[in-house]
Amino acid sequence: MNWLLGLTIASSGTYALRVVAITMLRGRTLSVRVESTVRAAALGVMAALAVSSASNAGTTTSPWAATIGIAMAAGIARWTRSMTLVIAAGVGTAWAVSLH
Amino acid sequence: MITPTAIRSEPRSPTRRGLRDAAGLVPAVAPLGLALGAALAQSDAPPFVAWLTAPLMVAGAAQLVLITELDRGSAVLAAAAAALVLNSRFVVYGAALAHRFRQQPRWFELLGAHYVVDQTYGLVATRLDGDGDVDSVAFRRYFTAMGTLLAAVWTVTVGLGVVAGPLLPPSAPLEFVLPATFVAMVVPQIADRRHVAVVIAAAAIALTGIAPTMALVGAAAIGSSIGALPRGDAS
Repeated sequence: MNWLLGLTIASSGTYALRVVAITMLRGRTLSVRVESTVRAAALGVMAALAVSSASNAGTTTSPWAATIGIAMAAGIARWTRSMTLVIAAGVGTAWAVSLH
Repeated sequence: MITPTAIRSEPRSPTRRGLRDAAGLVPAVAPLGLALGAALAQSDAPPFVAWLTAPLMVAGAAQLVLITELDRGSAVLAAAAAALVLNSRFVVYGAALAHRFRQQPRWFELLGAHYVVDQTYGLVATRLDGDGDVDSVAFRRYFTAMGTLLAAVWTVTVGLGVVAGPLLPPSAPLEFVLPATFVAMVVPQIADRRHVAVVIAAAAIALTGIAPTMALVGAAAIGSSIGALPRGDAS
């Protein structure tokens, strides 16, 4: 019973988090500066997720592997639109370094 | 970069473009779904409930936190709260996507919100952003297509992981997939020095060793602070 109750609360709460800003901002036109602010906040969140997940990966495998793999992915991402290629390059490089 | 004009005028429909863009992330989403399913299967949760977290939450880390906390015997509210704190970043994504939903019908506002995840926001930010002028119908089709594909892949692979988790090879280098995915979504968003400053500051916060949820809050705060600066102040 606890499993279903927990899932119900967490999933409905997650949906509320997703929809709240969209609903509250409905019909409102934000200034360019405010939109830029919000996008920068989202960029910060994603960057923090990238670094914290890389840090976790480095802890469980090798910090060098994580660092070099992420650097490779970032470098590749500057010149290609293919996310598959970026991910493959980052994972492949990190894995190769971790084997040494 | 795809421009709004390109979305309207290119021969591919927004639906096909959404599917194509989402397909680029499937090689990352699928193994993570399998791995998460395998991890969920190690708990005492009924397999059906463990799998149900995928279509209902569509949020890997929060799914794992919820099931792990309940498995440890934590109170239901505490377990759900721990998952929700992790998912609080969706408020930021929702706010950043709000201008895309502004002219959408109410049903899409309510249904489309379910697809607001790291990957869908990342695709919109890297494939569409920089333009406030995307055709609302094109956006709706694009977002629905990519969100549906990613959610479907997630749901199926988590289910496979729950069922066949013990059969998965333990040595797969999955720990690098998540950071590489975020890098693939972050780097194309960097358009000026303010963005560089945001990324450096967020990375510094993440590396301080504070709790991940606090790091996300701190990164959002510093990001919005830098983003609020007039252009040039952060250069």
